[in-house]
Amino acid sequence: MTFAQPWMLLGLLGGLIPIIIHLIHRFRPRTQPFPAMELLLRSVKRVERRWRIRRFILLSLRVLILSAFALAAAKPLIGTAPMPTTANAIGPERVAIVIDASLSMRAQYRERSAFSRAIDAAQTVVDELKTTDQALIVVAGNPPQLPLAQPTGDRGRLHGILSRLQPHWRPSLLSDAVSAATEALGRTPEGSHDDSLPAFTYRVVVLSDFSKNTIDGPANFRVSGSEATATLQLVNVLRDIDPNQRENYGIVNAASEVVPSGVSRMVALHTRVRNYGEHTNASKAHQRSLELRTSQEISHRINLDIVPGTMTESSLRHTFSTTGTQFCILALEPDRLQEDNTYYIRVNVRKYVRSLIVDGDPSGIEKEDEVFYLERAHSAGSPDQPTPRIISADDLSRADLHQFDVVVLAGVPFLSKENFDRLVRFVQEGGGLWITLSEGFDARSYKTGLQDLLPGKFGEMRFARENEVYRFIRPQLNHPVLKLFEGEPLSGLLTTKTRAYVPFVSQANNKQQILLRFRDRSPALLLHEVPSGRVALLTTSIDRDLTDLAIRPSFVPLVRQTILWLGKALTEPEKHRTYVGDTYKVKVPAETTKLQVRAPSGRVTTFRHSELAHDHVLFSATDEPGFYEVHAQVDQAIVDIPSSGFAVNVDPSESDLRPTPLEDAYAILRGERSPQSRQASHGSIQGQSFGSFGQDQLTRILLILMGLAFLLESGLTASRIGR
Amino acid sequence: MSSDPAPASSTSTEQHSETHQGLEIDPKILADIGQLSLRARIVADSALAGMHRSKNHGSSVEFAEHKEYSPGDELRHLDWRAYARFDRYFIKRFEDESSLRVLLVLDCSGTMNYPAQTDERLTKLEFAKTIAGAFAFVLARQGDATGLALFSDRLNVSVPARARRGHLQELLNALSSVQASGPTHMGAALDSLSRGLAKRTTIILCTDLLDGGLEALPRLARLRARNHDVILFHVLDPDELEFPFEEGTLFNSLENEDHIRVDGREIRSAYLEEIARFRGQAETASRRARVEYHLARTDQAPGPLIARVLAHRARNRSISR
Repeated sequence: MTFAQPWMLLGLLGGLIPIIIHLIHRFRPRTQPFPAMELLLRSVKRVERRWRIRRFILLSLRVLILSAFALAAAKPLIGTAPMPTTANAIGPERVAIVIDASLSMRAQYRERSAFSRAIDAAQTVVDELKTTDQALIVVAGNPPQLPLAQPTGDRGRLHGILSRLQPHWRPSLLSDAVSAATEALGRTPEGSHDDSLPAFTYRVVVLSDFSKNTIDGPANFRVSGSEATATLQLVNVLRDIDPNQRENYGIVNAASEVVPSGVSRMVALHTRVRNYGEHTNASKAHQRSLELRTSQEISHRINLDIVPGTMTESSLRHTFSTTGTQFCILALEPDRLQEDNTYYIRVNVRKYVRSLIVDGDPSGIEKEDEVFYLERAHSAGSPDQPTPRIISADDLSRADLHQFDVVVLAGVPFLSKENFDRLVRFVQEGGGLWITLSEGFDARSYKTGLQDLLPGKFGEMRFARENEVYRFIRPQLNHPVLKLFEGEPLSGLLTTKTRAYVPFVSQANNKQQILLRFRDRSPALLLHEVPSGRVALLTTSIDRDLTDLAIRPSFVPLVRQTILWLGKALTEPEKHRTYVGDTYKVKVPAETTKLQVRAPSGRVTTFRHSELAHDHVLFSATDEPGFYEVHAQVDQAIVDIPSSGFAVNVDPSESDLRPTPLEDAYAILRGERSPQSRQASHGSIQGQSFGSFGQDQLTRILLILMGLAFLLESGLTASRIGR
Repeated sequence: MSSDPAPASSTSTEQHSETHQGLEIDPKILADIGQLSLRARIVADSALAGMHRSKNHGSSVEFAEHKEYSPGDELRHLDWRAYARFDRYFIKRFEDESSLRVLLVLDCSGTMNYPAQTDERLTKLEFAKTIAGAFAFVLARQGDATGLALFSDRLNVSVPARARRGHLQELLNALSSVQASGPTHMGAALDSLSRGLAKRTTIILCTDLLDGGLEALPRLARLRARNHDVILFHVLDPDELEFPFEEGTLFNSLENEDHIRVDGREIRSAYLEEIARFRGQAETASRRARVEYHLARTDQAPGPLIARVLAHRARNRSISR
């Protein structure tokens, strides 16, 4: 047994106090002449034995109370004594040096990282190995890495490995590392034979900062191929650092949001910063600056008041100069762990959608013209989109489609083959095309002209009988176009009365989505994605010839959402957070033959055509935080796909640098306690290493014992006085 | 014998049946009075306080004095001759006839010397002496022959029973000089007493019954058998009855070298059971021996105690008449 505060053992002398008092009373009693001695002697004779036992118990309890208090105050540790980093086994020993390489080990203390301290400690362990000893190194990562498969006695090799180690960016599984180390200890070194091996003792030395979430579960201590178990030695490499100095803050989450009522291209960035300190009444806020960096320049800076033990939420609004996918960095002032002060975020800034409306049936009466309704819908609300250009079908052949993102064929019954071809090329190059129908619609020419864009078959226009209407059913509300209609607004959409529509039999594939149907399951609104562009089909009219959609409250949002979708401006903010080590689902553009993911460090991961059978690939090499670019090869050309790029951040669980008491760590690794039951760190244990029995556990037992003894003593004393 | 007839009561066969509670005087005040005679007289006066003057002056034939008639006086004692001579009514009053012998027997063993003299309350012996002195006063006023005997390990008759003038002072002097010491042999003392008493005597015994006293109680039956009357005052100190000692204490015997070290709190309950049993046995033994038993606590005023005894005795037509 050892003690964290051995000087408190002086308190054990307090256990002598009851004995001294007892002896004082025994040797210097008050003298009292008494006449009824005969009666007194008789009384004493009757109860003396009982009272002698009770006196002894009382005295013992009082000594126990004081001694238990002193022992509890001394914080005892039962088990192996604190072990030095040097080996002290008598015979040859095999040592597994487990080095915590998690993100938290990058934290700087007195201008040195915890990881470099761990490397130094490991070098010391290697230096002090005896000539008969062997060692191996395990890097605690996810999964653990063993630079040496078997133990070796070659110190130079061990030193060389240690000097090349680098910390990771992710949490480590220390228990897995300990298990792997124990397992590897039993392996036979190359060139050795089992029968020539001396009897080893086994030891696992864990070098870590033992930050809050370091220990995740129990480890296996049985050495493979042997009945022996390894002894565990935990070394806190930050033992000379005051636990209060391990306060750290970091950005735990950030999200972007288009500001609907704001000016064009304005995005709100919501940031949550957490300070992993102990919150007390005396805690004071630290003022730290938060910067938004776009294109390597500081675009915005605000000050945050960060209070220990609390979460601080902030929101800043920034107007981007360009639209589309933007990669931004939110950066806090550096502290102990700089890595968690930087947050990478992909922001989707709503792009301008330049639209061209082709009026199929111009009318002198505004309200009979489809364009009238489309234009009104487009310009309703905040004017964050440019005004559409309107032309007649005859002018389409002269229009430069490259100046537009979306072309709307508003009730155009027929187009020439050249125009259809131009539109097909326009879409294949990334444009958006919205087709709305009208009476006189030439299904045959559309089928022929748009075969590549809209595979399917148009039928004859279907009219409702008198006093009957067609209604929309089965809306796909999970699609961004219809997401707005969730809830109350949906009734405004589904009550639309349609008198006629053109049936379309889709050649179903996963690129087509039917957002609205009529009762006979014919599509009402169909979306189709081609490799680069998008197509939408409304199988009825925009104007009021065939439907009353144009005068429904759902009309304006439906038109705006559809045009934004076609213009690829309806991208959802990225909600999924990707941490270092996570697997990311990379979206594969259609017709991609090769996909490359470029990591922030420049490392490129390539996915060949055979791996691109689905619309996404799983990318798991997220080994570092930052922005990952995605490049796709379509038709021999490699193009950057910003919308597929993604940001990877460090796991905020590593930001909590507060120490886990070593006895907790030990108990968890030994399976004596679950990680969830670990107690709040009080930072009182700064011991170098730790044995087998939890300090808190023993202290608690002593205090309970003291309490019980006190209760018993009180009971006995009360019964003595009371009777 | 007092010459003051007023408070005195003559021999009577028709004593008032009412009991007298006596005047309660704080024992602490009594303890401050050093002179036994004064203390005894105060106690005697307090015991007799409130007793009405007797309407009947008994049947003695020895004339004492005349008293002018007042309504209520018995007409049979009217002196017709005096009426004839003085033309006024006079009542004849007679000297009390003393037929009672009383022996005050005090235990003066070492155990009676408790608590220490320096204490603010009377020792058991002083308390016993006060009771004895008070009785001596009362008896002297009645003209009864009163004697004094002391005992510890043996009986010592200090003052023989007499009823003459000046005897009271002699008795009080003897009482004053009594000191407590030595062991107790109450049995032997009672045997000696039994042998030495020729005439019928009322024995007033003041003792703590400790150290063998309880075993000696059956011998009082012999005295009763010889037609002696016995009143037992069981004198105990409150310390003996309540055992107020708290800490570890070395208790020393007052009669020998016995000592014991105990914690007062630990032993109290057992001791209290023991003293209660002791008192019960004393009362039982007294009742069996037809001895009148009275517990005399030294922290209580002796006056009311004596008054109760006198009243009790009055009903039985002895001592007080």
